[in-house]
Amino acid sequence: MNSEVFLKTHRETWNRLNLILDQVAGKGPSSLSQEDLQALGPLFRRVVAHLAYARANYPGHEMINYLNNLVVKAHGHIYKRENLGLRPAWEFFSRGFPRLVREQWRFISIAGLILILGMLTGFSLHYLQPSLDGLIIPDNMKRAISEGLGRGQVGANWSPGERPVLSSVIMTNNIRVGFSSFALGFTWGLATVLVLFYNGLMLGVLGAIYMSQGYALGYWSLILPHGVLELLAIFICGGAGLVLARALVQPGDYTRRDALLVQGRIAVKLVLGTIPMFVAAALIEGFVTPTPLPDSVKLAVAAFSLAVFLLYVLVGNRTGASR
Amino acid sequence: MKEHSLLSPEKVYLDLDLAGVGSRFAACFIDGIFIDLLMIFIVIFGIGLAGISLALIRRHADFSPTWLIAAVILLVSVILFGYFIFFETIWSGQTPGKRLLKIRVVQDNGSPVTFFNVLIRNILRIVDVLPFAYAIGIIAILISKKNQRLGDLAAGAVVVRENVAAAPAAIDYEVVEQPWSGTARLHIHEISESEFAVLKTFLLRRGALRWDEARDYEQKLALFFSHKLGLDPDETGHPSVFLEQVAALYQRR
Repeated sequence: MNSEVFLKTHRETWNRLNLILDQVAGKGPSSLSQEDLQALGPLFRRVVAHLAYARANYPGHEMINYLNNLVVKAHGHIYKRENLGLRPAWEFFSRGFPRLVREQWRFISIAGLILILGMLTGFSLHYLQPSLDGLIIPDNMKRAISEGLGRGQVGANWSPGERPVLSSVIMTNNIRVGFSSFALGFTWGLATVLVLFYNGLMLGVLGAIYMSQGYALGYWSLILPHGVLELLAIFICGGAGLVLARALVQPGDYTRRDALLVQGRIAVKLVLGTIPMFVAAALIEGFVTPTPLPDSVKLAVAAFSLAVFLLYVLVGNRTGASR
Repeated sequence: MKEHSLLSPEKVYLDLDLAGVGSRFAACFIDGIFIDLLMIFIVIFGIGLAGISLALIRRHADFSPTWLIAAVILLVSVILFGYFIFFETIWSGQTPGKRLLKIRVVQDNGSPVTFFNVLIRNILRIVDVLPFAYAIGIIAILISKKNQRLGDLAAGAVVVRENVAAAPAAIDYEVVEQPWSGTARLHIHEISESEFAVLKTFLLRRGALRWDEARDYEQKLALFFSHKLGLDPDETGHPSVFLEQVAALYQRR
């Protein structure tokens, strides 16, 4: 069979496949007629065979390019995986994420330790060498806090009207920080470690400033209500960054490229799960923290949030056998 | 242009045309414009709504439009971030910018991208834009074998050019028996594929040639094919008719 005969014989088949594919692309597979739907599979196989035949027998012919692109196009529609929807999302948040948190607890703890180390460093820095504070907390901020504390005012007092704005600004900023510490895992984890340590430093120095003026309780009741959830989320994101870094640093039996794929999926799922935590933390920070509620209530909120999180992870890991 | 060859599940080699830095950057640029427009629209919309609500509900002292502002801030962030994720999931690897430039994100085994692929490659955009204007991303694309930036590497995705070619044209001429047709049929199988390709190309494109060039080619081809088919060039009649008939006979071989 020469190429022209081949072309003439099979053109209709190719056109038909193309039309069906266009319809699937435009209106979805459910718009196909029964006949078309059943024909799609065999048509695809046939056209693939044509491509192989043409490649072997008519090298360089223009129809090879055409068939190649047609098959690629068909491939895209036929092998599509459906993975959006409420069910998978629910699965993820109720089981997937808690399980991941437990599996990766080592990395999460390391991230947490780095941050706490930063905190301790910042803390002792303030007491041992107060003049260096300016490197971490800008001087005018330090002054503002000291003045506020002098007046007996702990933290800023936002009016009820401003709270939603505060909340959403904090929410978006924290989520961005969380995502960054994950993405920065690409730097072999170095940037992630730096980010975690630096955040810890800031917290430490701030804490020291408050404590040196005698407002220890006030400081903790300021940061803990939302801070518990937020810090946990940052630990998890930092851990995710380190998971990504592990793919680069210690790929094990995989090539680095493949290790990235495997670890990257794990890491991004971890980050995804922290979003509700950030949202909750930001809501608390916007609506609970600035209120003139007594410190004890605020600390109770902090403890409550911690308990809820632990319960969530526990229950998520216990539910049924893994699929 | 770089190509990426992969073996499909049907054990056939598929060639994917990889999109280069230029197309990707252009698509990203266009997407950036769309994002800016969306944001401007939302900010104006939000401010407008806030203004209207302030005017209308002035009497209720405790209501403030800050909820609206909060929503705007959230929406802006969601858009900045979610624009790419949303479109690349809905349109199976394309954003409006990519659509305009006819490129698409697919997994490097040829299958369409999954949600997690899209998520990973877009979160890692944070690293690719450093230190400025996608510098790291561009370098990664230039260095890597499959034109991948860091986000693509982590997600196992490549960006390909979508080629939508028309079906190759077939020529269709009626066989009109000529005095030499019988002899021609005996030798028609001696014409090789590439020789026929030349004939076919000429027949399809002769309308676009200058008249004297067309005649020139016609005569050369007629001479060639009449020798090939063992015919006397003087007995084949008008060159263009001759060539058409040769093609018709070849098709029906």
